[in-house]
Amino acid sequence: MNLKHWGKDLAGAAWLAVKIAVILLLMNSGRTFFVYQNF
Amino acid sequence: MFPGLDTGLSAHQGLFLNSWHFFAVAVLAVVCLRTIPVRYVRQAALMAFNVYFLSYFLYGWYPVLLLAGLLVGTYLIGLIKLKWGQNWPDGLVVGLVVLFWIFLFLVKDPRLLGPANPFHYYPVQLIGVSYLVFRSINYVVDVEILENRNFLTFVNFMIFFPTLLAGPIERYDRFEEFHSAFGYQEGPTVLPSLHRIANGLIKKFVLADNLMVFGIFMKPDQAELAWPLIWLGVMLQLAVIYLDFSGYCDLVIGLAALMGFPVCENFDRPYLARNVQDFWNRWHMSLTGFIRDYVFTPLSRLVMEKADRRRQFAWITAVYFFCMLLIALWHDTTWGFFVFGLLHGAALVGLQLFRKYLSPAIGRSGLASIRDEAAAAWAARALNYAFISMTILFWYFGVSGSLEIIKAMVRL
Repeated sequence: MNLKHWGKDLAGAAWLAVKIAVILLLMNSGRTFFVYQNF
Repeated sequence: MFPGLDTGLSAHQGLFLNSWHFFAVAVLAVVCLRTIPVRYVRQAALMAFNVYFLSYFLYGWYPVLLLAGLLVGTYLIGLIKLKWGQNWPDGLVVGLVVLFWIFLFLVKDPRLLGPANPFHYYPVQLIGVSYLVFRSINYVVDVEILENRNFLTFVNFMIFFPTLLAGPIERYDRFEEFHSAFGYQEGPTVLPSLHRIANGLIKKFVLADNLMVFGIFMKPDQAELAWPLIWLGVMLQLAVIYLDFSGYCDLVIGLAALMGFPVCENFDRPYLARNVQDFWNRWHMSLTGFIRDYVFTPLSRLVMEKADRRRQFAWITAVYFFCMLLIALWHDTTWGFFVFGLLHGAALVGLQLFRKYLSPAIGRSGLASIRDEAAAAWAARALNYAFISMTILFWYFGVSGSLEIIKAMVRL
């Protein structure tokens, strides 16, 4: 049970690392919509 | 920059949510709020982060004074209302809510009412002013039933930095509960919150910002584009706005959860909506919920109490229409948003008429059989998506510009 829990967390962390890599590689930092709007 | 959204801020002002600077502020805020056990020190630390973040969006003393006036004014009204207790007339609450709305419209559009507008000669850019005014209304209307109404809690609620720019529109009672608690953990733990933030960054800064170039926003002469490209651009823009706004909300909700403040959800797969009412129950839900609780419900109650039974349906339909117009004008007081509100209001009224007059004619079982049909459901979703996309044109291109684009779309 504990091992399964750790495995799940580890897989989650690895998946998060992939997402972070995607963000750092593909982020378009030219605009931020919400900074400009006057809502 | 999008047409119609030029607020006078240059690209060098503000604190970008995808910057390392913001990342450092966010990490520090999470660490402080999760480790400082003394309540008032923790709350003071939150105030420091809120003020630090806010300082990047206030230019000069004028917006600072206006914000201070709004905060102190709202708090004082709350104190006076509490002191008066039962003697406080209901009409005064309505009057104050109307005044808050008028204040919002006058600040947002200094041209409104010409020289009679106090902001006509001194226009001011107050970041997130629509959200600030809604929080003020929430506080003033509900002040009697709120706990911990001290000034520190109130100010932290008003300028809570994760939700400062564009919501979600949090309510005081919910905020206060987590503001007082230490190490509160509801629902998501650290890893799910980090995933939420990462999803938000991908939706907003990877997908939306990169897709933006294919949308119709960036084309100076949209109506001159080839016909399929116009359709593609117009239909893509709702997806881009959804990714942009819901991505921002994911980022905010994830960060706030890490800080110990579970913020309310703002989206529930709006692309699955089958009609306009369904759409507004899934899109910017905190805004719809606010209008429902502070405008629609009180007005409907008034109609049920005062209006003649035979005219109640007409009045309730009018209330629907009015609420839709308010939602539109809350975004901005332009003719484009006004027409957007008219169209959505008309669609909502049409839906109520359909439910009252056509549904009984078709029959409950007949209607259910159509509704259960998968093809009918997807057709309704596609039509609704197209309708929302077309009406969103009015946000960006005004009335004449949007009509030009729509004419080009239908090849008139």
